[in-house]
Amino acid sequence: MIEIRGLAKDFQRAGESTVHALRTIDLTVERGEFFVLLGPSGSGKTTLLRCVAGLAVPDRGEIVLDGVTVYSREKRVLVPPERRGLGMVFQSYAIWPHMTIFENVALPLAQKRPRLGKAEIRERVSQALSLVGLEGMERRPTPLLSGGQQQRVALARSLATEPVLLLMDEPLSNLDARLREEVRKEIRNLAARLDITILYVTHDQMEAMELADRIAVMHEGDILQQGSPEDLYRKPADPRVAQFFGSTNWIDGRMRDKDAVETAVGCLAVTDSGERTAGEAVVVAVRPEDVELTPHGQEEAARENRFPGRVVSNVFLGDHRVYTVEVGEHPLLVRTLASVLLGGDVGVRIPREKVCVFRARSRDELPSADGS
Amino acid sequence: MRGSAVYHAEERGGEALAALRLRIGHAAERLPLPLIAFVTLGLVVVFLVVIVQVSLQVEDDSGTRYGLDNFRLLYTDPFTAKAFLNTAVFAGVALVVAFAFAIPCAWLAERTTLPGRGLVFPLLTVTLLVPSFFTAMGWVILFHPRIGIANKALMQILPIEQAPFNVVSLVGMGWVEGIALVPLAFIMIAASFRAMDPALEESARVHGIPFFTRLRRITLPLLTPGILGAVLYVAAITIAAFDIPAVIGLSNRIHTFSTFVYTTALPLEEVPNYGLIGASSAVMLVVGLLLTWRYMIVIGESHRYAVVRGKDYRANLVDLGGWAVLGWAIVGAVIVFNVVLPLLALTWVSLIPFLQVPSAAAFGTMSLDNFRAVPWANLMTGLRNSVILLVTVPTLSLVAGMAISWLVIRSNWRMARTLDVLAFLPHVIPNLIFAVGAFLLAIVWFPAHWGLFERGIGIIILVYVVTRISFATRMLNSGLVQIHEELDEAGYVAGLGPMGVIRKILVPLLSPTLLYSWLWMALLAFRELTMAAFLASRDNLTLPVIIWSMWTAGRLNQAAAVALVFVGLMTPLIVLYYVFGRRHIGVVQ
Ligand SMILES: Nc1ncnc2c1ncn2[C@@H]1O[C@H](COP(=O)(O)OP(=O)(O)O)[C@@H](O)[C@H]1O
Ligand SMILES: [Mg+2]
Repeated sequence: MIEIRGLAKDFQRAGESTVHALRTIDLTVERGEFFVLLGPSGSGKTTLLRCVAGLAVPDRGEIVLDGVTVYSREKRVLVPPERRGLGMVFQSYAIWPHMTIFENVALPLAQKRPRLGKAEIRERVSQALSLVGLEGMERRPTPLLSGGQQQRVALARSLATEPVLLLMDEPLSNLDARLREEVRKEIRNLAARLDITILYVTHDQMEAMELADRIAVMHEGDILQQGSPEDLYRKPADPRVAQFFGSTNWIDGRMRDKDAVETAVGCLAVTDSGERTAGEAVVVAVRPEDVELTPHGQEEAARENRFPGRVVSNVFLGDHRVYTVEVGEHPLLVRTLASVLLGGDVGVRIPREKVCVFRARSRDELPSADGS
Repeated sequence: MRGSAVYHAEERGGEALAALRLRIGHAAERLPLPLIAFVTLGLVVVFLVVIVQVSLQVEDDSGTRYGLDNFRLLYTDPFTAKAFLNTAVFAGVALVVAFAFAIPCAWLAERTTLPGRGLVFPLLTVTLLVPSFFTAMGWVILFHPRIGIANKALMQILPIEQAPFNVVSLVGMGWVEGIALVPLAFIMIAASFRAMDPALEESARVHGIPFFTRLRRITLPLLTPGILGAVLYVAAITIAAFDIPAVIGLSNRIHTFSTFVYTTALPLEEVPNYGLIGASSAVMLVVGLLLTWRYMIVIGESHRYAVVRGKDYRANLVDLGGWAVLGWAIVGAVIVFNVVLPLLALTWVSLIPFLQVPSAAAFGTMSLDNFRAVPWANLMTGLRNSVILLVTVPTLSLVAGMAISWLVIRSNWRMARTLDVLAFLPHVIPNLIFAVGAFLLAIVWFPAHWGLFERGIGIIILVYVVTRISFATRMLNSGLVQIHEELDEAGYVAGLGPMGVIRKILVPLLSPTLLYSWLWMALLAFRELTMAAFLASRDNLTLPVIIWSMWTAGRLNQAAAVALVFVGLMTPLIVLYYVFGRRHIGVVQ
């Protein structure tokens, strides 16, 4: 449905250095897929979306939508946005304030060629409005609508022409928390109901996980990794991806052999160390919920990945607790349902298949803030 | 600002995607905008270039060559020198008068509890629309040293032998010019007052600094850049002012720069010396640009003081108490001098056969004879021309302004900055210069037998549009930046092309701005005398030009009658402007 090859775009700002908004993006989105572009602010998501829409013109590469090349530097093709036949929901909703709800939804329909009849337009506007739960509101002027209603109008407007591809740029970011939940569910239902491909931009990892069939994680104009939400969570290919999906314990170490890492915590057996070689400095990531606590004293040296520790702090978060356990000198976050005594000695087990190993140098590339 | 990307394909020029201009259809859709922008701004440049070219062009026996002879002539000719000196005195007096009224008015409107102070701004803005030739005619009727009826009345009442006032003098002309410029100066200074953070004054107050010390040490120094900027801007206008010198000075052989150029361009006897016109205009152009350059620097510096204004703006208003009466007396004087006195004088004179002081005998001679004697057939032609201007000038200016502003604000075309600067030029270069440019263009660049002048009012329309383009683009620029760009982008995604987005989204959203600007420019086009006088020919006379020529021909009573009719015609438009424009009044600058 969407094929993007070698797409790049720079911004030149007066008196400043060039911003590489997109470096060299390769991306394929299948028909009917709900594909989410996830990344921190400034990572190039909007730029990529705007390139697909035709609102921004890339510097290099190629974009093919539904078999039609809409941009190719090589072939000198550039289809303007008005000829791409897409639906798009803007971050600000971009509801035309001088038009009623009906006029907003009808305008894209009126541009269709061959022309649609008046009656057909009316019919399709009301269909689109009932799709988003705004039936009968055609005559309403738009400036007085609430954020949630504007959001629905924007959705109806972009769906009215029954586009095969719908683009959404942080459509929930201007809603308050409760409404965001609600609209998120509606979008998921709509996507399931309609035969439509969606390219969706967000910086909210929970939103991405809930909505996406597949996610691409972006960072400074690059795609770090693409895959299903579970893949990204379980098998991050890059420490930045790991960090983006919730808190992580980072432990420095050195490869002993292909299956084991010497760390401050002890010698960790691992299943998949990728291309790391013996002696190489590495950094190891373990999710707090993957660390298991066992009663003190069961950590026989012989048994794999078991270490003695001491509980130094404890945060109660309702349905679970987060402990900080010191193993050797190294603090580890542990997320568990169990309750253990503060200051007590415990055993810690780190299942070898849950350990991710990265190049040590990549640790320096992490954004300094945030993290655990 | 993130420019609309739709334009990239063409805009990136030689780089990257220039070659992507593939489909004719899609390029053609966008072509009108750059085309309109280029034609309009091209004219701005052409009008200025022709002046410079003509000023350097010397005709002698061997043919045409280029040199500085015209400037040498300008420098050595005593008549020219006198005109320039006169202009300096005239402008000096006008500036003193204008600011002596404007600064107190601005202070009253922005910084005091003057009752009804909200009215000061709209009243003075509307006063700005009353043609200054109208005001000047009123003043001559009242204070001409020989025939002025107020002078005569005073000589009857008071034990004096000589007329107490003489408006037919440099100082008199400067006074009337100054009075006529109060509204403009007021608008600029009021803006400076408004941009000033009241907290700066308040903190002085809290620290126990008394009123006059505060005024001297805090308020005035903070306002200095704003006032200086206004002085420079108004000065640039004054040195090229035509209306008032033309009504008062021309028939009495008191020449300023503008009337000097006029008589040189259209002399009664000899052949016009175009080189001299070019040279004197070039000098004025340079003086104007220098003033503007200073103005820009001053305005740039004033940003140093710019502080984000808090909400609590009323906090620092000075309570006038009983002095409010004096406050309104000052504002009232401006309106009386500009509108009421001239209106009374012209009304009286239009009803009597010759100038005389009101008396029982004079009342006996009152009739509508002057109105009957007016050559109405000529006037109808003038009215038709004026109405054509009133309709076409604002409309074309807005079309051209829309094209330019769209390119400047919504595209990131490399040329956009240049367009914006060019569109700003007519704001700082006196209209007169453009009229001279068009005049020289039609005479010198094109063969005489084409008769660009004799062919109706096309050339007048062009010059008016060119001089209005600054106003139109300033208004539309500020209107466009307030429209969220995603509203356009939603239009593109919905299938509208650039012209469709402009028509269906931007124009409706800008409609209040468009309506207000249209009315303002319509009024200015209707009342404009200067440019129409320079470009006058048999077929393109406008109402103001006809009134003025009746006046200079000495038919004062008839001229007064027609001037009254003229202002009567303007009144409904002014009311309309006031009703629709109220929200916008104050953005005029
Ligand atoms: N029109 C523009 N001009 C200059 N820089 C831009 C423009 N648009 C985006 N950028 C820059 O490109 C980078 C990516 O921006 P964007 O795509 O908006 O990121 P995101 O949507 O992920 O927050 C940022 O560094 C941003 O500052
Ligand atoms: Mg964004």
